[in-house]
Amino acid sequence: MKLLDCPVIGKRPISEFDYLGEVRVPPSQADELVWADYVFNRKGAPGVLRERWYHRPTGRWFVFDRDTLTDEIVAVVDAADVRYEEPRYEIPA
Amino acid sequence: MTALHLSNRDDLRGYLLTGPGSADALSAAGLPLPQAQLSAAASAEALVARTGSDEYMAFIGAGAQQPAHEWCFPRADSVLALKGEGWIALMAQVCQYDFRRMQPGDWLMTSVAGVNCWLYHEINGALLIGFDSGYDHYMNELFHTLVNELGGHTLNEGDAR
Amino acid sequence: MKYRLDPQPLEWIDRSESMSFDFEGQRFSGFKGDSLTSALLAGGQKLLGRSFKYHRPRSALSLANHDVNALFQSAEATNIRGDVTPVSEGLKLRACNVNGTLANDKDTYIGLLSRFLPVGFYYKAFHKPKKFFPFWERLIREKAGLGEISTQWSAIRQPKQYGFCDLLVIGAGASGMQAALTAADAGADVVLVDENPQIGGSLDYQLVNESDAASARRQLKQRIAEHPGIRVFTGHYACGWYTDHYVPLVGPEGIIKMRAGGVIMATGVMEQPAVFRNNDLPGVMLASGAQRLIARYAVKPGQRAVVLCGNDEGYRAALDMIEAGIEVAAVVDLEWLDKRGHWAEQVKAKGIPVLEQSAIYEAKGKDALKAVVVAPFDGRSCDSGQGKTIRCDLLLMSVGWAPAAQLLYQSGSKLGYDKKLQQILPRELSPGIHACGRLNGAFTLEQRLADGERAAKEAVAQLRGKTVETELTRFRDDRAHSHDWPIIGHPKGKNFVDYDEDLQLKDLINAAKEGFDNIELMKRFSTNGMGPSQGKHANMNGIRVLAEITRKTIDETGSTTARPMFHPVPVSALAGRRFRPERLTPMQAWHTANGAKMMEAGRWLRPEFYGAPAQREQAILQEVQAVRSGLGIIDVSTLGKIEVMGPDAGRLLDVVYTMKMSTIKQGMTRYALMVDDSGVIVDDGIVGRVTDDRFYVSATTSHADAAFRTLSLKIQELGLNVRLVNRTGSLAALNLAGPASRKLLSTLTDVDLSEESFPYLGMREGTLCGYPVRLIRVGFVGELGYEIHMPATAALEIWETLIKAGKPYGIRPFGVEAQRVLRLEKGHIIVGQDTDGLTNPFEANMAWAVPLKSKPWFTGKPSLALLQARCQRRLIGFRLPKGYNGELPKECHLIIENGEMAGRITSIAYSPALGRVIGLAMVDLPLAESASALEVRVDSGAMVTLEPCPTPFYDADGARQTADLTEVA
Repeated sequence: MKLLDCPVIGKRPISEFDYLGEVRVPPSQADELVWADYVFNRKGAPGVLRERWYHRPTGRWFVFDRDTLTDEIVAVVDAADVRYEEPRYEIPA
Repeated sequence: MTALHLSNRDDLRGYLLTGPGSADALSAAGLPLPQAQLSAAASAEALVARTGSDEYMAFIGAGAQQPAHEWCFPRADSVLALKGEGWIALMAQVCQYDFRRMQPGDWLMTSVAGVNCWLYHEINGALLIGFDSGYDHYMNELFHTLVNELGGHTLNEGDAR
Repeated sequence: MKYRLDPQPLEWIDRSESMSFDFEGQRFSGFKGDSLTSALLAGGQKLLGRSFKYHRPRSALSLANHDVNALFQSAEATNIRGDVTPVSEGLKLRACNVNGTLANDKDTYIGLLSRFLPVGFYYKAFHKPKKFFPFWERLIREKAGLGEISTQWSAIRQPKQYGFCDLLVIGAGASGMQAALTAADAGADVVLVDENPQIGGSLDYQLVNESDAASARRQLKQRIAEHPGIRVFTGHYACGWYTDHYVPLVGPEGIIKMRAGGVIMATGVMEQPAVFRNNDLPGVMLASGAQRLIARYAVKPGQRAVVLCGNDEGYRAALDMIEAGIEVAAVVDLEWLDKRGHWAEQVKAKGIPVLEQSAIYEAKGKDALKAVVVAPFDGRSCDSGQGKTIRCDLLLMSVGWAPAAQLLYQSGSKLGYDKKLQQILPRELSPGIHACGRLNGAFTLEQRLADGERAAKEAVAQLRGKTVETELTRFRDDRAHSHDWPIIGHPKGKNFVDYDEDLQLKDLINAAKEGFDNIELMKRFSTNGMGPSQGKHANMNGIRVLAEITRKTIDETGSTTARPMFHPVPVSALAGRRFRPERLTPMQAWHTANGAKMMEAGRWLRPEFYGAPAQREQAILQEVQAVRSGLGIIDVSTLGKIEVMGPDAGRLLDVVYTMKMSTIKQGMTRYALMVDDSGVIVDDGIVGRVTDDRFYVSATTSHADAAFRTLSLKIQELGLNVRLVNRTGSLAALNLAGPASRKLLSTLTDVDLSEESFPYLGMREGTLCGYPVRLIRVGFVGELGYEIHMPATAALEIWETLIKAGKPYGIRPFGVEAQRVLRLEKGHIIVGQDTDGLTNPFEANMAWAVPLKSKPWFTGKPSLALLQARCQRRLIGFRLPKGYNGELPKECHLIIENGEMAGRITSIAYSPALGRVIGLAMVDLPLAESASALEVRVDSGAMVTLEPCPTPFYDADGARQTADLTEVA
């Protein structure tokens, strides 16, 4: 099975991880179409995807850039680089 | 090398410390302080692992002092101690880690037989395997079976080191 | 007739130990080291099986596990492959797939019906008239199987283990052995694996009589045996290649899941049959099969042989036959003699007639080979008019090889057809994958050794992180070892391409004619390569035929996807040891000692109820009544428990839950509803405030880990200053519920339990039995009650103390089932039972838990804002008449309106408090709002009427409990 080569914990089998999908930022004050696209649609075309992985035995988070066509991790991303500001949503008048 | 041998380390009390001041609290209690993340340091009476930037797990024997810290929580771990000839072959049945690489003093957190565990290779002794005590029955039964199959022996109580 | 030869130089058998076994009711004996096939052949049993479809007589073909002509079963096992199963004392075997006995198989008549059973016949026939189809189906099912299974067999598990190495070398022939040594000499930790009981490969049966090979063989084996850097696994096969060089090795004791840094494939080549009429007669063998039989088992394959050659190797085989005392009547060469090398010269020198530019047109014999018809061959077809008959009982086919490239394909490596060698060869290898030996087109011994060395050097360099320029083609041979068309048509057919499937040449031609002219379609329609051998002896010829029909190149035709497993793997090996973690609470021993019937809740075990199975309903009722009237105690240790602390703790909880958490007062709790981005309910629980910057979160048992992970994720995403501690295992919890709960508890704790000091929804810390505890007033079951959270190490003592002290109050332990009834009486939902993957809070009557104006943001807020006005269904309460004794509806029974589904029951139970059956149902909105009676369809198909009614069913004012709040389950 696939091994993920991670900072600090080293190469671990993929069975130790939860896959949480693409790193995405919820849009603030979005109209319905934009919000529905965020909630329901995902990028499926092959390419490099920035993804979040959770290592269950240590509870640590990792962010990788993975080429979904070749299934290769092309970069390890620092968690700080993918932080975002808390969004806002006010009910339209 | 001695024969394969399994025992329970019921003498250890576990604590989780988190937040600013965790390291100071450990030092103040005379407990060892590991430096690198996911590494451990041990003294005669205690084992401390660093599991986060300011998070530590401390396992303390009878003689050692409990750390005093606002965010210090007692844990309920069961700890097995495995040593002797064939312990690597035994672990090879339950864990996808190459234990030939494990050096004395190493700390590892991984999945053993489907259960999240912490593991520590004592400097002059056994492989310690710690896990939530809810899995005590499951893990003990499994490891006893494995040790017996591999021709070792098991001790059911106390502090056989 | 003596079939056992004098001792052979490299034989596997141990003549000092003999064993006997039964086959088809007859006693046979063999030596230790014999396979079942070799022992049977040694005993003169030529007939080993009956073919799958036509029940034609079959005997040994490859002796390499590349065919299943010899397939047996015993009382304890089935589909035993005679070629590769060692003889053992006392086996009682019979042939698979026979109707009656092997010698008198009543189904041989099917062969006469072959005209009516063309390729794919079962797709076209038997479905009309429709009413006869069940009869045909039963018949075909019976005929279409091979071995029989007994349901009396006991389940066997063979534990698996993980293994690790730097380099895995698959195949211990000449190149594999060399590669292992070169790599180990360079310091790599090498594992060398071979499916055979001994290493050596074809070096030991094809070149056994080659004096030039002797010293190389000896040195390789000796160095390997002595080398500390090489671990050898014989009797193991690599069943597949998985990502990052994860290669399970299947052996007699079970599976070793080997993780390598790189893999060297030295798997060699598989000999391919020639296609001609009756090429499946007993006595027709692959040349290498005959060589294996002689060299390994010292068994004579026949008396008088003809050898069909499309390469040099056939001549080597002819020489081996002569060496074994077999008369070689003729060599039939598909090409000109001057194409061949020194082995052909040696054959010629012995005076053996060689018929050039000729082929076997057909084999003759009823149950065994008696003669062959040889005819001139122009490279594509025979001139049958010029046929010449040669008497023989053995025909060796040496017409070519297909690479054993299954794992190579699985690794993503690319292969292509090489016209010079007339063989598919590796073209582009994936990272960490190396190939050498005959698999890579190196055929002479020198080439194979050099190629093994080259591959190992490249593999080691790659392991060490150096960029490697591969010299993949450097040691390949420059002459063909395969013929590109060993395929002879015949008007009467029975020229087999796939022996497992009884597939004739015309079947492939007809499949293509019907439009299945793509390699994957042809495979599936004709079943070529779909039998137990998975195309090992059939795919190459299938590709050649299809390429010819469609006038494409071999590369353009392609080949079918090779999937694991390389050989069939026993289920006992795949099952491995059972790892089914079970998580127990500290009170487990007490529960079982006191009659609890345990049930699984995820990994946990929880008491379902206490009492004998026969008294289940009664016990649950009594437990419910005990809680309502006196005192009940339930173990809820399985709940998720999370400490949340830090300056941003309140902010974190505000973002994750729908309600506002940051305003909870110290010492109070609030209901905590969690929805996902789409507004669907995923969990509920409570949040309590411990101090200014510290909260205590409780989540449902099944969502505990996910809740922790969600909180942890939000901290990461928003960069919050918060610490989490998952105390689910280190804290136990129980719920003490009933009118007498306060009275009992006050005698045991120092916490002030008065209503003023500790109101409903409050949370207090104190001691109980001398241990630090947290008490929470919760309302899930709808009575005065306290949830007690305590250290796991203190839990059993506290539990036992409460049980003892509670006796005067009639305390009774209650389980999950009683709790479900109690909460149902209060109309409280269980997430995942009364809600599903689409339920939002509005549908579940929880609009009160969704304040849309008090926070700028929380997960799912925009969705809930939109869904507020788009309710499509609603959860409503219902009841059945008092005294109802008809068929009881169940959860998930459908509510039907005007013949359409209009909802379903989500919870239903008899309520002792109300004396009637009550429940909750998720109903389409118009029907829900109409307040009319509902019709539900029960198991028998009958309709039962449900009367909608408001919830809570019991204690609507909450007098029994001060405010309306849900507790976690």
